[in-house]
Amino acid sequence: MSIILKGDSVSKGISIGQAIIVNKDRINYVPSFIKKSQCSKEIKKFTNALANLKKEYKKSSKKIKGNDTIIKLMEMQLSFIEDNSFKKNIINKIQNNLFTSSWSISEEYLTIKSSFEDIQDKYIKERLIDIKQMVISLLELLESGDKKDNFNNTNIENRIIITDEITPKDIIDIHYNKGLGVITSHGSKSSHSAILSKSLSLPMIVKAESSKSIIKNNDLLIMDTDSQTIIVNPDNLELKYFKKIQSKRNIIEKDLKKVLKKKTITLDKVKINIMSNLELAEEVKYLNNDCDGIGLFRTEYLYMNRVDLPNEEEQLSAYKKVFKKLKGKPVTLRTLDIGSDKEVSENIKVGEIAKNPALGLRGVRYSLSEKNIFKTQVKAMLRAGYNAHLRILVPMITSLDEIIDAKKLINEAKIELKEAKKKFNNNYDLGIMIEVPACALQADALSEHVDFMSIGTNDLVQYTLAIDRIDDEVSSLYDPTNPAVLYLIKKVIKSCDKSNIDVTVCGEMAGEKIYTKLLLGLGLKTFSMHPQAIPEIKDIILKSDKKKLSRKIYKILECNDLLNRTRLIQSL
Amino acid sequence: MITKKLLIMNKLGLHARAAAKVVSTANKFKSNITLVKGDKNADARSIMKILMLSASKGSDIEIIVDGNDQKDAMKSLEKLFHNGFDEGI
Repeated sequence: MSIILKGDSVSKGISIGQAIIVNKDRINYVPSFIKKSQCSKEIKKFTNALANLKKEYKKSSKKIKGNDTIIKLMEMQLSFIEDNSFKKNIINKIQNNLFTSSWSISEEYLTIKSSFEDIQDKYIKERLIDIKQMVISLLELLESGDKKDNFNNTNIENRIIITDEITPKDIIDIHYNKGLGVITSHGSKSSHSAILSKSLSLPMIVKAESSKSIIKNNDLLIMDTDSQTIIVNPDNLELKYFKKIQSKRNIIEKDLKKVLKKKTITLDKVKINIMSNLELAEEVKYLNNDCDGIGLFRTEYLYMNRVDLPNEEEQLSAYKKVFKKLKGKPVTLRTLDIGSDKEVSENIKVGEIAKNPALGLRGVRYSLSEKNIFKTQVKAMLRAGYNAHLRILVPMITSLDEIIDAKKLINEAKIELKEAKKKFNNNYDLGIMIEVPACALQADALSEHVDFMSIGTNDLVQYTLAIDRIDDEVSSLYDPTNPAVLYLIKKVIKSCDKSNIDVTVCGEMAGEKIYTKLLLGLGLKTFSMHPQAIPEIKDIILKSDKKKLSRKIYKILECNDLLNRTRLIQSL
Repeated sequence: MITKKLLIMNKLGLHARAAAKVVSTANKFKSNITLVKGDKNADARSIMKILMLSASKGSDIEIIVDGNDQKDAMKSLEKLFHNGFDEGI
């Protein structure tokens, strides 16, 4: 007979497979001592373990690239390992109290634990779990001399892992070594490990309290995260049922993969372009050949997390990576857009901190005031785009004068490149971001001065509705379907069609399936989105009739109440 | 040695990500940097100690910087606090 266990689901999915139990060393609560003569050796043992742990984390982080959440989490985990006072206190304990290194660590952990128990803030309190996981990894390293690499081996391939606690590094190793899922008896839904398992789509259930005592090695398990249950040794009926659900999910995924191979044409035979948004040059590796180009490469990350500015050569090599992979397809490089919701590094901040950064010196405004930074970037772009399809995109335009001024600077950059005898692209396209309503309303006139336009819906909505979407108090009012916004989008598309230039939507709207038909109806022919969104959006486009949609759009534009408008959009 | 009182302005307070930013800022300098809140103090290079201050939005933190580059260090920390740790206020 099967046994059913309950826990808290962290990530989604169904896994069916055999269990493997991994015993993680728990924190040692029994004091142990060393002799005075062993002191320096013991300290060395501890600092080595700490250094090794750091190395292990860095190694694991490298396995996963291009995922910002994961990178940030691993960085935070590293800062726990590098904690100054943690290290100092433990060395003191070994030196002054002659504690063994593992008892010193355990004792320090107990002190930290009692301090954390007084903390009121729930979120800060939860971080104790991350510290505990770090301590466990450290103890493992100490006890076994060489690291017992529990998860960094092939034994766990196609297995469901049963354990007490799990560290973020373990999650990455399990994902890398093709484990099927993770069940822990302790842990929490908001730990860093939990967030990681979510972003790696590794099914995980935590707080399945009796799991370690009930489940045995090689037991067959069904993990169903929807119902938060684990079925141990399921009967045939249960197995059949869950296998069916699992294969249904797989079919949906496979269908989406098939979609990728087809040409993006609507039912009424209109060719639609699907481009990718990119944040880091390294991410280009994850693109497959199905996208029609890069619709937006945000270059801000080149400037972040550093004290100096990236020079021309450094930018050149980053941009070249993208052009190389795209093999002649259009690549849209956006010039530096800082300010507002983007993190601003010290190196690119000027003057006092703006009272209202969204309305301050950002985008092209910054570029026109810091001409050399802009010119250096443009030079790198022009050089990287030599013999390729280069599109330079300038953000935050509000007037024709800014376009003219930016063009002037680009020409200066070209002259300087010529003088330096560098090869560069003289046939690039110049485009502007439509983020400010003022710019959208002038689209007719502006379209005669540029080669393409790109609608940044996130900012366009923010500036049209006067809503800061990162402000929790008003974020619920953020509505990309507000008729005013739709009117502006429609107007820009119409102006571009008239001037026969390309227009892209590159904001989040382009990658959200609820808006795909709406945008098609508004006349959009080029979408640019996060690569992960492409299969789903493409699937919708293949099943849409653009002409029919455009007839239905007027009703939506005239519908001023949200509820009815949402209904109309859903029925498209 | 210079000291200054700074206000925590971001919504989440000195939580893990913000604390990590304080640590990485402190690591750019050589001065000794201590954060004081009420009767608790924390080495600015210790993320755990900073978390233990349990400083929520609106709390006052006294910063003590001591060393050759104390002025620059204080300036950077001030900016970080004023920005609400780059998370918006």
